[in-house]
Amino acid sequence: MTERRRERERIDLLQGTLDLLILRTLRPGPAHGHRIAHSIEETSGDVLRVDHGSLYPALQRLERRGWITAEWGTSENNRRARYYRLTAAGRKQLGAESTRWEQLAQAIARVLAAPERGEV
Amino acid sequence: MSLWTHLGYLVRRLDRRRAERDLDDELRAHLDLEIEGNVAAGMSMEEAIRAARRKLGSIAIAREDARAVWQLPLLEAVWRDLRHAARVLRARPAYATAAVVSLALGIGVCTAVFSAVDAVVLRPLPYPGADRIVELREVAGDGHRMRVAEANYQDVRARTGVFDSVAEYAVAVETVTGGTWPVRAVVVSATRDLFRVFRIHPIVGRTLLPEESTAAAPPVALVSHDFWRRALGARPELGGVRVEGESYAVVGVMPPGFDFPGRGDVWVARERLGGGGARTAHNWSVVGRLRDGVSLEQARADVSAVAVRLKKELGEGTDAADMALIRLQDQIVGDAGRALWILLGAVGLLLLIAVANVANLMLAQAAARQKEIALRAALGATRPRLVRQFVTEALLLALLGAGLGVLLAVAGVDLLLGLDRAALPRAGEISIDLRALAFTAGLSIAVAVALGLVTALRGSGVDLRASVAEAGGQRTAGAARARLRKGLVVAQVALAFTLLTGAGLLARSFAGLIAVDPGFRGAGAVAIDLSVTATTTLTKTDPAAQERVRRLYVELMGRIRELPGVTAVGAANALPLGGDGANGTFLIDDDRSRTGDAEYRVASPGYFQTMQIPLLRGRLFGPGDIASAPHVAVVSQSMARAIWPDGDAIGQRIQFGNMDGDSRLLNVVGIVGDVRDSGLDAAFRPTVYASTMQRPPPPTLSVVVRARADPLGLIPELRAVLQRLDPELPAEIRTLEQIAASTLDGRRFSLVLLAVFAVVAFVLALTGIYGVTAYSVGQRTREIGIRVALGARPRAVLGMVVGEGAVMALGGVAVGAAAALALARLIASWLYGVGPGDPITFVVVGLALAGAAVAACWVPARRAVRVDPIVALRAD
Repeated sequence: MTERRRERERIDLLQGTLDLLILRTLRPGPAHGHRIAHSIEETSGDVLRVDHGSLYPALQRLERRGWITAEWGTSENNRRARYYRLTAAGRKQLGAESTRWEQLAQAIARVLAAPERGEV
Repeated sequence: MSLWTHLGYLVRRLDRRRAERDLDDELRAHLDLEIEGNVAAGMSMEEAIRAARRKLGSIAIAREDARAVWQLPLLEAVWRDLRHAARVLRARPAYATAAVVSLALGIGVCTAVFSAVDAVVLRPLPYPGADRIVELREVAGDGHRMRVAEANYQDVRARTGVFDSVAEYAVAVETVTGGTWPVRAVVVSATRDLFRVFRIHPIVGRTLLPEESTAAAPPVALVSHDFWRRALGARPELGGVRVEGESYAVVGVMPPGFDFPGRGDVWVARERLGGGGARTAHNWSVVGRLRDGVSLEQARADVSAVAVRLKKELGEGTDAADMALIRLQDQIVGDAGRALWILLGAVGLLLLIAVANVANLMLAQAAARQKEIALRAALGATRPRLVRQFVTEALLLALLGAGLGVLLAVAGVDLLLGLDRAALPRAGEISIDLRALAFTAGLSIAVAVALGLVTALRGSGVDLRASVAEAGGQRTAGAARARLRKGLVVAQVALAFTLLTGAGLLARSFAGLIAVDPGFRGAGAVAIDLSVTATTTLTKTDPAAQERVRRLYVELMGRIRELPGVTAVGAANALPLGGDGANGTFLIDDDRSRTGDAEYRVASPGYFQTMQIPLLRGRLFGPGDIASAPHVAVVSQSMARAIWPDGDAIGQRIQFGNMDGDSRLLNVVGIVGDVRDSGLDAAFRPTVYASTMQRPPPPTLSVVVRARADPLGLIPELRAVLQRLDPELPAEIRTLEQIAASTLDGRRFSLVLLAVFAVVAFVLALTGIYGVTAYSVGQRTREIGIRVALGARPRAVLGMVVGEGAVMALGGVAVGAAAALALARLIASWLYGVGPGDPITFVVVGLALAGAAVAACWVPARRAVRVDPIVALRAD
């Protein structure tokens, strides 16, 4: 029962936020796609849901922009997996994006918290 | 991002196969990890796999989406669209074939006609600064243009300064010997400035020197490249030729293609012809190049002013009230230019019809594919994306059509030029070249864009609104469009009916003509056309010369008869079908009050046997009919009937001395079958045959040789006989069948042209019916579904759809029949053996067209029958 409710409460990611979250997830160190997806979900307390189908296009997009690079490695349970790593450009991008995101979040919060007025 | 990362990424991505493999491996690894995780969380294996799959989505979609990120966007997309379009077309072969064939026909005829317009009208003549070259003509008081008199030419030349160079010339067909064999060639007598006017230089040797431009100088000649190769064996040492018996040293060979003023073989100094004659003798053509800086208008004004002054000075002494300058290109192209433009307009219209038809087909397809389109739109394909798909599909159709069309155009140009080269000026320059191909490319892109946009706008978006509007009762716009579509189809069927009927009438005439018995047997015989004017001065009063020519003829026929394989030899001064023999009025019994009109032929004793003209009564020329014996004649059956309808022609006597100066009476000894004299479609002409052994020998003679085997194989041996007998005797050798076929050249040309257009119109009309019916079936899927649900039997649905097509077809046939009658009356003079209202042609064409139209409706009608009412009703 709790499981189902949680499923309903989960939120689809806003357009464009997946890129930011991937970059953030990679800040501590390299990870493969599966880990990135689960890491985002776990870190958000299972509120955010990562569409695994859209994960790989995002990774390709980030790689194309030069923010991450990839190479083959071996996973914790001895599987061949492709490990993604932040580049210097990616790190810079993460900084900029984070700032932008915080500003946006604060702005939205301010609007939501504003005292109500009568209808104009 | 550094340049290097970017480059490295690109390089890695260029290794496409590796990139794909990486992606596949990665996705599979993800799936495996997810499954393991699920299993670890306590799911069964099956459940774990299903859950993992669900989470990753369809692997294929994930892969496509990921791939889309690193594909070169536009090119890849176009390529994908093209492949998709190809799949769509492959899946619908009837639609694809109809569309591609329509476009190919439209584009093909446009390309063929454009190549003719381009070569004949648009491209300048192949001379440097060709637009500065003009032809000078005298203009009479009543406005008609004439060639120029020598003295007028000299005066204009002296008094105007508008010409950079100007030359006069005259053209004659003359006997040229000294080459491979004697020929009748086009000899141009021109002043030496002719070559300055054209700024053209010989590829071998030189042009005329000033000192060669006098009557007294040793004569020299230039030859065309074609003549050099054909008659002089392309030998680098030029040697000499004899023109009408006079020796000329060949000093130069003109470049390939130069044959001014058209089919010119030999150019000699104008001065050999002596004085120019009176100021009213319009013997000369004049061609000039305008001086730099002088416009055509200035030159015209100047020349005209000179002409007006001359007229004032000379009064009745000159016919030239004025003089005109005509651009040489206009002069050469003449009326053919306008005719070609009109033709281009006509085929342009055909292409428009073809495009309209294909647009209908595509709209029908779009209607049939509404579900697919809706699905794609739902999956996120944007409007521009869908439009692009339609445009790509149209582009593919247009490209296929253009490719096929170019092949058709190449074949068509070959066909038309092969039929009648002489019908068009500059015909030799017509070919499907790069310019024509560029035209085709532009045309097909325009077609593709037009088709794609129409379909995309109507098929993907606006139509939705339109169908909503129609549901809301605003049917007018849709109904008007449907009426327009149907009207177009009716017009197409009418056009096809008209052209098919015209072509059918011409074809029936042609078949009738081929079946006509010409009165002789053409197969297995060749004719040698001789002209003795070069070797012998033949006058009516010189018995010695006449005897010499007669002996030459007898000797020649005797030698030919001895050749192995020859079964018969005969000769006459003119052969049937040529229509170029002499005719005139004769006296019956030497009585001036009783005259008749007949063709006059002089024939050798073996002539009738060789031609296999049957003897009906009496006898043919015999060995006893020598010069000193009473002169005899053989007459044709129509002659005997016309002159002696009640009695027997044999034994009658006529006098036909005005033909050859010999007024001795001719005793009619035999009656032979009639031959077609001036063409297969001409009526029989009364004909009198006299004997070459008794009458003065004609200056031109056609010797007919019948062979046991292939007569063409005889030609080298005949050439050898002629060469040994008289190396100066020009002769042209053709088979009788070639002669017969060439009389049909003009007819064959118009028949093929009309037939080509008729076939194009026919195919277009069928495509039109098919397209409109398919479209209407697509639009009415729901209506048909309701009918079926309410119990309409398949037969009734089939009948309804086919009936709609049949109504259009019948409307077209009715309109077409009226137009066809008008066309048939227009071409009545070309018809032979069929009336302009020939019921067989009309009925056959009508049935064929109606049958084909019903067949064209059949495909969409079958689809309508298969409509599943449940599906159709759920369609909304």
